[in-house]
Amino acid sequence: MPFNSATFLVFFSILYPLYLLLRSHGRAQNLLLLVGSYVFYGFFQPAFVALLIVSTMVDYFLASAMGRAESGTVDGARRRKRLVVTSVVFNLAVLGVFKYFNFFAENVAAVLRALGMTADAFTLNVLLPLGISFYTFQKLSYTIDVYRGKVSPTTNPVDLALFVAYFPHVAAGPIERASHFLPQLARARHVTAGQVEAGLFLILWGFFKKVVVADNVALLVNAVFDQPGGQGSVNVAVAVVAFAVQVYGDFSGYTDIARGLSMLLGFDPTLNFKLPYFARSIPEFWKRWHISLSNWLTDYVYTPLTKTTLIPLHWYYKLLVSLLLTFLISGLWHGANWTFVVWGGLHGVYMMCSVTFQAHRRRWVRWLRLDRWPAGHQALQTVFTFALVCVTYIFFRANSLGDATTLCLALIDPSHLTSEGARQALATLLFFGVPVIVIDSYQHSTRDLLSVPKLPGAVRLPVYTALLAGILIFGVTESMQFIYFRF
Amino acid sequence: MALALRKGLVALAAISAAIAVVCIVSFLVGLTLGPLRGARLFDVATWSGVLALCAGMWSRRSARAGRGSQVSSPDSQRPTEIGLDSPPRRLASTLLGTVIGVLLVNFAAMFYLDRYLHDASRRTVSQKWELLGSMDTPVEWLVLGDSSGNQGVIPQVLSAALGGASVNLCTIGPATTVHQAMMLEAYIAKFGPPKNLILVNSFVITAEVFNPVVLAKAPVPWGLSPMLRFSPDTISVKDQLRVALARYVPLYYENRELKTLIRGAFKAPSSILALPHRVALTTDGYMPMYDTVFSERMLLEIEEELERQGIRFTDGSLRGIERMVALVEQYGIRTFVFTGPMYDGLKQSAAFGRNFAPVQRWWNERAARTRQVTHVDRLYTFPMEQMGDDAQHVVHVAAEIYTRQIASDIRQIEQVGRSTQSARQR
Repeated sequence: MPFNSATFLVFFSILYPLYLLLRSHGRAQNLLLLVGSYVFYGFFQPAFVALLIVSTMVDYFLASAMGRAESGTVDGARRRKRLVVTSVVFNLAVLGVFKYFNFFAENVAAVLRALGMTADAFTLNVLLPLGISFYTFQKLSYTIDVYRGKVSPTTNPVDLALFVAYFPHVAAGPIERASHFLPQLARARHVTAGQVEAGLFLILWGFFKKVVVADNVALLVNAVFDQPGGQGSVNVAVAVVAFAVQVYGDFSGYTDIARGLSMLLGFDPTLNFKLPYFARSIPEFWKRWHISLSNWLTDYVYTPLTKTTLIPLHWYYKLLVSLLLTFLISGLWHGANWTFVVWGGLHGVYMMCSVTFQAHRRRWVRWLRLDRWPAGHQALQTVFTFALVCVTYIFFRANSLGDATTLCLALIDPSHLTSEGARQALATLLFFGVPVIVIDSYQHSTRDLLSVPKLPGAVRLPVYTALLAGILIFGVTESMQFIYFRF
Repeated sequence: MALALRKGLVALAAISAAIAVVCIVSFLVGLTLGPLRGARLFDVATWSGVLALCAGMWSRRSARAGRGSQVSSPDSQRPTEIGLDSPPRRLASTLLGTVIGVLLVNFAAMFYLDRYLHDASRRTVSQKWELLGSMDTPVEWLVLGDSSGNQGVIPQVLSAALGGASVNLCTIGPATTVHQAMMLEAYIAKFGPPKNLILVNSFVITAEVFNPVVLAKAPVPWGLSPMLRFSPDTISVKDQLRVALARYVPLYYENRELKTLIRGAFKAPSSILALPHRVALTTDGYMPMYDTVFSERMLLEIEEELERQGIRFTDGSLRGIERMVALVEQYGIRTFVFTGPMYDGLKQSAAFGRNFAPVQRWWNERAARTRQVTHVDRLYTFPMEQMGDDAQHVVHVAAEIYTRQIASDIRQIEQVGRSTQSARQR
């Protein structure tokens, strides 16, 4: 039941009026949302609803036990540590079995074969549970935060179950934090007109980005990435930029719809995107793109790595290694494929370079007098950062490392600079990219992601009309899955 | 080790930068070579305006950010969500305004598409209805059918051979026989029943699938008026609703046409002002074709399609035929059914012979059950140099021959009919 399906429309049309009727009964609203969330999840994969419930209950009991253990005593601290380690091992084991078992089994077998041993990979024929990477990280953040004393363990299992299975976020985030979400569940939600208007705008804009921009641009991307051989450099360049547009339209579109739905339900959802392609450096890109994942990795992977004594290096090199490891883990989190590992590794290297050359870059800017021309300087930084991100997308989208290599070589081959196909693809890309560029530029100029609903009616209504008409005319009606549903 | 790590990082940075620069250069080369080629001043000016708007918004933001050599935007300058504090009345007016806006756009699209349809096939349908609307006097010979008849029957030649005025109201195959029945009804409503009806269709007319978007081009107030003539026996209520939606909600149902229009306007904003050319029809409805673009490769594609799908009888096409037969019987209209002109290579094809024989049999049996209908099961074939853009469309020279051939066959049928009649009288 993806958001861009008629089934979801029916589902939400039934759920929402009931939810509004229960507006003064917070607990009943939570229960209704929990039932709705399990129904929503069950539409995708009914068998994995049980996994969702069981794994949530395991974390509920572990966190409750941590809450009962006295943190002031040595025994209590040990017990809490054992419980949090159990939770981490349990969650990573579930994730490992469902998401990474086949990947590791195949790679171990390949290594053994390379060493001359006979080995057949024992693989499990299991489906990937929807949103497992997202909800596992959410559950981990809950138990770790309880361990760290940042969050009190909830006494209500319904609240924790809803925190994990909440239908707008369960499939592809944003990755909520218990400290932000659980307090919202503790009170009844009163939906204001402002929330509804902002929510409806986000849903409209999210749908536009998904069904008009991403799904149409996907055709250009697939044509090149699914047949990487014999492509010209401009063809590849256009396809890579098209994928940048597609993945942004798809994922930020999904996030906008999810957040818009949350606002309609009276929640204050976590922000996940801040116009990432306006970033002026790679570190800034990661503060604007998939923010909830970046923050999660910072809090639970990067920061502990920089403090660990297991990496026996000078603090500066430990910091660089921690950056690289964090991004390799980020790559692996996205998918059990070496292409994602390389993608994460490239971002890790970019981050290391960014940290290493920060002072040099400032000197170069002054030497080139770019600081006297801020608009041009910022535009250059933005374009350069975007290009660097695009290079990593080759690995993110390619079906295999071999395909990615073929495409990289094609990209730097000057013998096929232009072709009619590339020009047409570029025209299509520009056509679908322009609305996003215009609206994002406006949001960038006002520094407000909700600046469009604040426009005067004479501008706002034509914009809404154009977006809705655009969805009706250009919307791809075949329900294409969101890219991040695979993760 | 630190030095080696540093050198490695420099090398990696240099490689990444080189790839990024190539990416940007390739992209910019394509960007400038593509859209600017042959662009008009108006289009360049329009897009310069849009780019200036974006650049203006960007520079406004940069100016606010101020000078400096920062390597990234400070946290305070990154966008965030500032909550909306709007009263319920504003929300209601926004919702209402958006709905009204979409309705206005929809009706504007309907108005525009009624006049300036870019799709040549559907424009043909519209123009044939215009022709029927502009006719002052009835004709002796009414020709209905698909595009093989539209490009294959010359009314002037037909009139010269058979005597009496004639008009060609053939349209396109995807309009289906239902549309032909609609045309016949409209003609009867305007002039009374025609004396003679000639039906010219290609061999695949029975396989055409009901297409609400094409049928919506008929200026009949579908589904929303008591003038609706078709009973659910001919078009089901669901299909009537689809036609009504296609007629009144072009924003969704005509989106292919609107896509072409808007994308054309994006490439060249001036194109929105350039009205599409009308289909070149003679005053009596014939659409001449002069260029031969048919090839053996296209024949192979047709044969493959025949092998794969065969020639089906769709529910819609059968209902359309039955409706016409009912009208013909009701008003006693003499009707001649012909297969449109076709490529002689296709006739030799085993796939065609195997699949078309049941169709011919069906027509013969159906005609045999109705006194007014005569099915001529002859195939009229032409060499490749006389074919137009496919195996069923002929160029003008062949259209003249085809029209004479069917006129001659009608004369023969009339003679046989007269002698049979006089023998009966004797």
